[in-house]
Amino acid sequence: MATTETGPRATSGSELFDAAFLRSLEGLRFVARRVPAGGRIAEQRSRSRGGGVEFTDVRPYVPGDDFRAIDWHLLQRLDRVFLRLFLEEEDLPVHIVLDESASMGQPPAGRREPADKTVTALRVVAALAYVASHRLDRVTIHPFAGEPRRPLPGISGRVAFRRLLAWLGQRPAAGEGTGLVRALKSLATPSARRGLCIVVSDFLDPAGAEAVVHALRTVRHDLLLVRIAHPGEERPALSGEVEIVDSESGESLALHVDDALLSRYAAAHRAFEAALADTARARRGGFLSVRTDRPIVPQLVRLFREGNYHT
Amino acid sequence: MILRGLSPTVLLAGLGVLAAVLLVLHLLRVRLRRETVDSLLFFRMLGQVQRPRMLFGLPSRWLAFVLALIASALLWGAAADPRLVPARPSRIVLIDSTAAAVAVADDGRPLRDHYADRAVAMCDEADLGPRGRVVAFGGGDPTTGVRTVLDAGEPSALLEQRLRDLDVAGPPDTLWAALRSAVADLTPDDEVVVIGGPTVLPAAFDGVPVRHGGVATGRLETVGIARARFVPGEPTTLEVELLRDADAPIEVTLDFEGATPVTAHVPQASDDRSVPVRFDGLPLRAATGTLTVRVGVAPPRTAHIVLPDREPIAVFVAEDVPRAVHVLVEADERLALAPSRAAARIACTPGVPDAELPSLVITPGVGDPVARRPRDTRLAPDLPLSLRDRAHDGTALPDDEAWDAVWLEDALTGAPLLAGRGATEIHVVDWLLDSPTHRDVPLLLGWTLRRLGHVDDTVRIDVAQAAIASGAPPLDPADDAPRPGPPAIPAILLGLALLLVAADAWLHARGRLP
Repeated sequence: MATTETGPRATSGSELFDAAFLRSLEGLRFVARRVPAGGRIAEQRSRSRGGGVEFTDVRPYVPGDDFRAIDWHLLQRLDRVFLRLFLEEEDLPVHIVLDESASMGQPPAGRREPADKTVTALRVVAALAYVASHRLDRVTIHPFAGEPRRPLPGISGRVAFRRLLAWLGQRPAAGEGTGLVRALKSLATPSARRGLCIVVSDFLDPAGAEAVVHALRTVRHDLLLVRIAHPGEERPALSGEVEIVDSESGESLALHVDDALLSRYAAAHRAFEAALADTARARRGGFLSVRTDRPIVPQLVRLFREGNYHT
Repeated sequence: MILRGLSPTVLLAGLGVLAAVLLVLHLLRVRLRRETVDSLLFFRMLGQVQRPRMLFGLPSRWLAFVLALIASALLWGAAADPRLVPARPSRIVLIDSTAAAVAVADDGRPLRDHYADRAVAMCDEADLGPRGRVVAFGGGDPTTGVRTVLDAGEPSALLEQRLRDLDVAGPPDTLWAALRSAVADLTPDDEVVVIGGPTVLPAAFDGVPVRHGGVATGRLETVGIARARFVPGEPTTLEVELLRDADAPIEVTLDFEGATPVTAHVPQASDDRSVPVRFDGLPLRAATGTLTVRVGVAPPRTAHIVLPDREPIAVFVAEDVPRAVHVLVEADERLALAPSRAAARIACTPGVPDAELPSLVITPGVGDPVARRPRDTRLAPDLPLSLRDRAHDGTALPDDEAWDAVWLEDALTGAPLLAGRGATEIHVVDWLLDSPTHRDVPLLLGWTLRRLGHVDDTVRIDVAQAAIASGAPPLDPADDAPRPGPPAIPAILLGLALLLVAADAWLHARGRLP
């Protein structure tokens, strides 16, 4: 049974995105590894060689090529016609899938400290959208809970980013079940221009881990998976005879938690994250687990430095 | 291994009860702690998970159950106080340190020196075993009367000097306390050796063999009274069984109050330890009696017992015997009317011959019975009460009985009753008490011995013992109690139980146990 708690969050938009947080975003750069040809020119470098400003290579002239690109110096020296190639810069469609399910608002199991994955998720979305929008990429945010919610249409540029922050600051509190699989399937429209899909979620879809992985594989964009996780989530602070209750469905399970079970739980947790990472790599993307107890930006910087993305 | 605290049956039964109780406790349903988690996704991915404990279900946490069971079993085992008993037998040497030990032997040395030499030699000959020790009996703790001279594991070189320094005190009966104390630590494979004066010892005490250490003093002789009883139906015959550990002559004296002591002599140099002695023709009139056994010459050793009760004499009184005889026999608790086939004595009139049993033949008197009716009747103090009530002055008796009494008077004395000589009844009783036992003598026997109270007819051994003055100072009571062996196994069991409890707590703190 899905809960429907959708009231306002305890954290306001100004608290979410304060000045310090916004200053920390200045250093982030977001570069997609590949952008599709034919898109509008943006600050992204494409594999397409054409009318950009950054020289990359020469090739023999073939009829029909642009005369403006002929390398006249090589013609004088080699008496052959070569064409100068430049890296063409295009915009990048960025789809950010934001999880607003009830599990995102659940504190760590067995712990009493008030921690909220939603706040972390919103900050991650803001950070990534900041980088993308300032590079003039088109950012679309697709919130979902039990079902896909109305998305924030594509925005681009620094001015539009302020509108995005305001939109994020007004997001309701988490309160429904997780419909990640359905949200991902909604992105799988063949007509959509290929871009980058960033999923910010805890990926705890009751449909199961395999269904989530399968749904991710149907996405036609490059994948960047950002998993929001509580500290020590892979080993809940549970022991003994407990009745655990699902925060979204209300289902309960009575069991005895001992060290062996927690070890198996941690192994399942690791296997699930490994499957997510493999899926992302298969789609020339990356995977990052963002902890709720640490600052957001340093974790994202690590993503760009160590993964396929860099500032 | 032996168990000193619990019997094996109780130990096993307790273990079973503990296991059952722990199993029930382990199966009891516990109150579940409710925790909300973000998702059940990973818990469902685990497949089969351990269910909470349920009543009437198999326990799922075997480790916790086994730990609790083992810890409880260890504690229960420690309560059983198990002790390791090596296969090597042990020997506890009891050495006489009573006042008798200062007596001088034939060679002029005190007996205690002979005892010490024998004990040292015995310890030098063979090891005393893991629980063996040398214990002196006499003096010491008034409860136990024993003192440990050489404890288990101590070198035997210490024994001689300790025995020399040992004081003597106390009566000889501390031997039995010493025996009880010694056998508490021994098994039937061990033995107790008593070094001391000649003593009649049981072959075993609580299943532990007991033997004498074999000190020959040449002067102290021992004899005991194993049993003394009157032959059933023959109160004039006393059978005595003596136990002797002496070559010296034994003199047995039977001493009744108011009667001449009867003495019997037992020849010496008999190979049998058990010597029967029979006293026949004992006076029946005498009441309280003691039996004294003397052995040796200087000083004599004596043993005393109080004689047991005699059974009532079965008397058959013929129908034609005067009624007065019936009344006397029936009224006196020392006599019992009995049919002729069960009787030991017979009262009858002439013409009823019986060649086998002593008989009182009532013969007709002479003269006029009525004229001889007593005029001065007194009652004897020990006359049966019922008879006294009926014949306080003679006139209370019916005429026929009074006649019979006078008639009996005549029969006994052979002369007419003289006034002032005594009541008829008194004469009758006197005659009855002092009558001989052989047949055809008019009147019967009996009533001579008072009942002396209940005397146990079981075997009882009294040790004849020389009386030697005691002047020894009291001993240090700290050395008196027997020293138990080291409780190594219970301590180990307790330690293991504590380790298990600590391990259980450690595992529980880490969530590995419920």
